[in-house]
Amino acid sequence: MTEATPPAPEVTISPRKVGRVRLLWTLAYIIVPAIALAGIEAWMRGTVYVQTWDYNTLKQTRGQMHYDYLFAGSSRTQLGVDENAFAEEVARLGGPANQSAINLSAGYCRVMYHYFGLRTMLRDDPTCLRGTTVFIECPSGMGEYLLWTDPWTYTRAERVLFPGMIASDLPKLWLAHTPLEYKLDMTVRFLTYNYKSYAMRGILRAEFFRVGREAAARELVKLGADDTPPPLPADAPKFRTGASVDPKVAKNAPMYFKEFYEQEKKIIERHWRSWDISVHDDLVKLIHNAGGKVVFIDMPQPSIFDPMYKWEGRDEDRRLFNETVTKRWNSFVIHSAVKFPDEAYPDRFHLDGPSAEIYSRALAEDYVRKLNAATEAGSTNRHIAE
Amino acid sequence: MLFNSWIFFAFALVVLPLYHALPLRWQNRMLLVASYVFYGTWDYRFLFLLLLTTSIDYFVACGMGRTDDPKKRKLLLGVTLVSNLSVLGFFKYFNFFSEQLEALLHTLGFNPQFFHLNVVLPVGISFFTLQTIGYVIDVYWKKIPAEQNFLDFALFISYFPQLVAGPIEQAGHLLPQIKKARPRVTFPDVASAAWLILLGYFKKSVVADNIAAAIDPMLAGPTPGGLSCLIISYLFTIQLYCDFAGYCDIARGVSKLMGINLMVNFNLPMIARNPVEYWNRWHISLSLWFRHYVYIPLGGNRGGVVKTLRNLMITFVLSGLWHGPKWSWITWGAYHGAWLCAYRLMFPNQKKQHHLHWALDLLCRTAWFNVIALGLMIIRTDTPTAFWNFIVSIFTRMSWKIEAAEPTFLLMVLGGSLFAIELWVRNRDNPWEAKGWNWGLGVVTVTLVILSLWFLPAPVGKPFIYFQF
Repeated sequence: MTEATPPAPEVTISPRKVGRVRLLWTLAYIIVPAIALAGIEAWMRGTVYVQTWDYNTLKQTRGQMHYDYLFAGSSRTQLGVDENAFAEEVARLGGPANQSAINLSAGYCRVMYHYFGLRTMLRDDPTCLRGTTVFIECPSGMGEYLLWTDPWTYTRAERVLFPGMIASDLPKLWLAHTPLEYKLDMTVRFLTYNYKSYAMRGILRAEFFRVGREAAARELVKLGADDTPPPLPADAPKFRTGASVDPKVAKNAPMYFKEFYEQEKKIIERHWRSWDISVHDDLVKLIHNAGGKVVFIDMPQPSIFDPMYKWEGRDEDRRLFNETVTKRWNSFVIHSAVKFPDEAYPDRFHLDGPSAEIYSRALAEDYVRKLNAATEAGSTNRHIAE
Repeated sequence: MLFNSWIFFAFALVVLPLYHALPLRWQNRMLLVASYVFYGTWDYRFLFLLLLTTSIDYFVACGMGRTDDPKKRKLLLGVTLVSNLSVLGFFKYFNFFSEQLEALLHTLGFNPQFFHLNVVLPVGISFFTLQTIGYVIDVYWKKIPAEQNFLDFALFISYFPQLVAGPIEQAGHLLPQIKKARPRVTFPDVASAAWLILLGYFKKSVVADNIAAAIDPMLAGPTPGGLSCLIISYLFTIQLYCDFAGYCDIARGVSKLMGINLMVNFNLPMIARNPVEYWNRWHISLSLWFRHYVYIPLGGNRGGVVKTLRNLMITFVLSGLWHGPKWSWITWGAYHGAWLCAYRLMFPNQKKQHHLHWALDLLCRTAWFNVIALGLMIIRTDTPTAFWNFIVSIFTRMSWKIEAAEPTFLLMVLGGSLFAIELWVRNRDNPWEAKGWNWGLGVVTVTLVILSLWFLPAPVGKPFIYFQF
């Protein structure tokens, strides 16, 4: 006969002990990651440079807040206008000499960016725009039409706005006709803007992948991988910033444009007519009230943008824009006579360096001509009058 | 409402506390309203479609429950099949079949101009249609009684965590959980749910979206070099898995917080070593559905080899068609059907366990991973020409190029960390039960997952791939 197995002793754990274990468990799995995040936040505050935002770092980086010419546009203007060449050319053609110029245009930004930017500048120095001529980009003879009820940023470019946003902008944001997700996302980004580990996590991510990619590339080369750079002619085009054109970007440009067009379809495919309630209107008012002047510049652009600007009905939109510029905003549009072929846009979007200089000088010439013509005609145009 | 959106976060913040504050009956009603709100955020018009499908199936099933007359029951089954498949066919397949017919007539010398619909595909329609068809068939087979409470039945069809991308629940599993008082959600349940949600977001936002951001531009241009193509095919396999399994993990985690257990939909499919094992591990709820309601009714493996192979092929082609009204999906279904047929011919005794030497076992798993990766490229490349160029590149241009650096890095870091976690935790809902899991390692793992979720999610969160089905 086999011996009967004694029953296993009943193990009882006191509720107190269970509670203690759970508390420890929670502490371990929540507090440790929280401490790690807090540590990274502290490290980033000390080391990662604040996102460059030209508008509120002018004083620190350039030592002055006031400029005679200020260019406000997107990357199109950022790369397409050489502000110093422009100022030089204006002086050479008999316009005002020794004028300071700055190009505060930035990639992926809508007109809200400049509105918030100039507002920030004026908050720091209410006189900084006195006598300044602000050149606002208007490709194809029209500004990018945007209402306060539209999305304030391009998809993927939300971060560009936050340095200039203030709490009182939030109600306006929530009244916009944008999806709830967009409003929530923008609000969270605004509220967390000062937490670098969240607001600038994209920088860390990009750095992580860059380091990883480069390490993988080194290892592949060691294994005998062909590291010949993608075929680029020796005289590969360069932008005015000195950056070379990434052939991958140029190759994928139509795809990027298509993606962009799909995302912004609702805004692009409507008529652009109520300029009196547009963000441009507030921007112009802000500049005028601060003692500045406004000039619109018809930035050249390649044929890839034709679907946005060249279709039935756009001509009427353009006419209305020009009417608003002259009658409501007392300003004018400079339509430069210089035209560039698509080859002048090596990445399919932006003018290359030499073309940017040609355009900037041509712009100066047109600007001086407009000034002279207006003076001769005794224009009451506010821009000229001041 | 995407799981990876702020709206869902806000939605969950409202629904979960409210759920726990209510008694059972009201919990179900509130969940039903919440599920309809969840679905209505895409397009409120399709709520009527959901309600219509639910109502038809509810009344048909109740009718079946009241009669034993086989003819009447068959007729009622016919009504539900026709109505559900018509809705699915109208929204999902009308344009596809109309285009195919047009093309066929065109080749015969006619030039017809068929009507094409310009409608949006209701999100999740393929999932809830299969779920509701499965329910009615189960009632017809008398496996389950017809549900008499309309609200409970409506919740079974529209339960929000699994409404738009599965798992496709069987009535016998989900309905009883809806009807009876759910057990109190305990501390271990919350911990387990938190792990599933964390892991789900990691799979989706860190792994799948970052891979998509890297390989989409590469596939948009000319076909890359052979090594890049090979790595891209691996990465896409991991992307698709993480995209879908991530969704299911989040769904299961959220559901667990309400005391409802959804079925496991993935069980380490990437380590399968043959087609049979793979289909027992990948999209398990769909495999089960097709097995129960298509393959077995067709005759299954009864009736000889030829009939078995025929049934397999029909089942898998239909499964491909279910995924999408495209030739690439149908081809993918046929591709897997063919592999299963070949496997069945090679190993007719499916029940016998094959014990392999570890090296051979590893070789089988690696080879099968390559087979599934290649199959998925049929879908990703979408056209026969692009797929052919892709294959040609792998087999004829296998040169080492620097362009492979980013995919290689992603494969090693994202794929590697994913496989490490998966192989360690082995699909357990409670990772602390895994072999070798201790406080130290556990805390480090969870901290790393949280940090990667914080710092490494792709800049743009993409919609879940399976939403398009």
